[in-house]
Amino acid sequence: MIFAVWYLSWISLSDSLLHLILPFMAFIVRSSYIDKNIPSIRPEWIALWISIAAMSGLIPGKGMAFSFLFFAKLALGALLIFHLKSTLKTARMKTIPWINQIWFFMSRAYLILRKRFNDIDIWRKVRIRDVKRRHQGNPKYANQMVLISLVVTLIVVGVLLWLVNNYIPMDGQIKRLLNAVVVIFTVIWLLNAFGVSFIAFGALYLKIAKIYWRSSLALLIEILFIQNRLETVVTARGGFPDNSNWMQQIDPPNSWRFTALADTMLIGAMLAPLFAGASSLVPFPLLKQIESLI
Amino acid sequence: MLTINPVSLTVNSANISIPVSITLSPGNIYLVFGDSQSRASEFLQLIGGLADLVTSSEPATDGKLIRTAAPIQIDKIKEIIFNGQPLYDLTNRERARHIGVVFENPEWSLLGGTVLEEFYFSFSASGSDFPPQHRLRPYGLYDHRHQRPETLSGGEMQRLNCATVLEDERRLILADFSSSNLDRDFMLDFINWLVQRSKEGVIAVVHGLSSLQLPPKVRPNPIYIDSGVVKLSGPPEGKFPSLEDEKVLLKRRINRQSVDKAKGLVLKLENLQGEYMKGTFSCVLSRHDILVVEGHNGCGKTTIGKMLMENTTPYKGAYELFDSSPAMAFQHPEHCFFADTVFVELPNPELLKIMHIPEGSWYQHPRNLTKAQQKLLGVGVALSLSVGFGILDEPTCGMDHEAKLLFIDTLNYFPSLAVLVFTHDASLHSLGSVISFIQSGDQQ
Repeated sequence: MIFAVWYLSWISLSDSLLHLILPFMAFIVRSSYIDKNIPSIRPEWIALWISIAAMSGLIPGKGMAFSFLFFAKLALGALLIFHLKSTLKTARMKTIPWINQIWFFMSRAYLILRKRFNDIDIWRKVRIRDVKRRHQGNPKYANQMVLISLVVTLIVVGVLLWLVNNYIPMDGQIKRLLNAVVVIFTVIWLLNAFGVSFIAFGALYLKIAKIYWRSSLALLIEILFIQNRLETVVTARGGFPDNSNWMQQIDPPNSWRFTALADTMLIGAMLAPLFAGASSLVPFPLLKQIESLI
Repeated sequence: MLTINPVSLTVNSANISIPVSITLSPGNIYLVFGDSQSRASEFLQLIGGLADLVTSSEPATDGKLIRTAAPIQIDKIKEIIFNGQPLYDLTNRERARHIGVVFENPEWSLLGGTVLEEFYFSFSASGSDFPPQHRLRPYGLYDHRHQRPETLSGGEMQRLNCATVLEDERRLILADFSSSNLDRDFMLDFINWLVQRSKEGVIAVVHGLSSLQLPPKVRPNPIYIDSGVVKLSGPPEGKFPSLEDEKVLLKRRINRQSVDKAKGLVLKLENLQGEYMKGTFSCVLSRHDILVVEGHNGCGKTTIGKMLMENTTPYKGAYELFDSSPAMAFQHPEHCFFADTVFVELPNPELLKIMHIPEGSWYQHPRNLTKAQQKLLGVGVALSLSVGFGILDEPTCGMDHEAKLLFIDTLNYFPSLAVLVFTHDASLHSLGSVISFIQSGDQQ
């Protein structure tokens, strides 16, 4: 929530919505054409897109010029990629080898990652289910605290608070706020000790959060492996396919054009906030000038 | 002709030693025998010209352990000679023109196009003429030619790799099926195609067929690899039992006698059909039972498992779980390990000992285990987290006979749990009732 408020305060509402919605739309369009199924929205994707979108919103002072640049770059990027894909499919024009290679690498890595998400999702579900099952009706988790630890903790908290109040110089208001926060947390914790199981819930959700963190880590390891393994494949194949006439051998069905369009939308939409982010690094007066020109 | 002079090397941290000179001559099929820690995959990489991270190494006094020395440049390897020229002197493109490799994991053998694109990529790289599209028919891929490989099953992806290697005019074919999920019919077809190609003077080296009953007319030459030491001879007697022997041995090993005598259904499937499945599937599973489901590549075995795990939704039919919530062990378990150490992944010392995972590895990352141990760990975790029944997808691929026995011991540890096994391994048929699930949708 705090993140969302911070994010929205920096960039305009329309921009932020655009950044967040476009990749989702593109992803759904792409999946419906290529994989013939609408995917479920996954937390990793949301985290990735929010962070990419947030990168574009780090610097304030963007108005119409920002939107203009955003659309211009989106359109240019989309045109470039679509042109590339369509020429690749019909082989009428020469393609640029290194862009071609990047395209295959990205597309391959993306599809492998989607598969990994799928497998990791299943395992995450199983582990969360297991943790919940072990928590339900288990006295070990229902009332974890004993009286001694309760008294010791209260004494430690009290002494620490007294030390902070007396020996650390700070503004009176901040001091009051600090005291209030400590007291509120202590009361919640005490309530938990006497049967109101806030913290028991907390322990469960902490474990679930840990499972999410672990699964993200597993995915990160996969990402680190991808390039290495793809390189072996490329070596085994004797390098990337060059600009020979191999595509002329294929009679492309019409669905390929939709596939190309959907791919273009996806890559364009995912990269657009990055481009826009780069544009936001342009000094503010220059942006104003561009805006005045429009 | 491929000649390998005596050499000791460390390829991707695996020690490989070739004590005497080996010559692989044209027109022959070589069958590589090696258990799950034999380093056969690395040996194939080495003779395929794909090894990187190579260091020279010296045999230690006990003859087995190999001490590694300084890293060396791969173009310094002159011991492997292909057609009279050192293999590592060839450029990537020259090598790809003559040598075709089928990797053990099909996911990592593709570049990112559709099936047809992938098929033609290999010809583009090797510079050969393009074959007509209908050449994909024998591989069962013609109807899928405009699909992305991700929409295919693992076995179909492997078929695509086989097609790219067999259809081109390569002189040396290296196929690593050690953890493959190809069905038996296709494997036999593959062997027959190799026999035809070998008549044209092709050398074929195949790993992972030791549990397959080869046709009597096929007489491959054995290569035996024992802990990285390569010999041009057959394996010791009884180390790689025949399919029928293995069935008997596994059946003898299984012993699932439970104190809990409760009976009853845990799962009921009725005409279930999901994405990419042509036919429907029905079965019932009772407590304590093992149900082995086999079928052709692409018939939707893994999809059934994913539907039961609520990962995909059925298009048709229904399933019912009776007081059970399953967990599923995947064919490639490495990306499903969530913990940093083996013991945190599976905090059950008794089970870890049954799996013969050494105590020294308990506090290492699960990825540091051998492939067979990783598979066993995946199976153990899945069965531990299952309630009612567990789902195992290709549990024994990549396992040698001894690891299969440990797999049976792992099943014995959970006697009251029902197990649904999707496999192509015919030796597992002796474990319980078998359902054959054929691509056209017929169920036997």
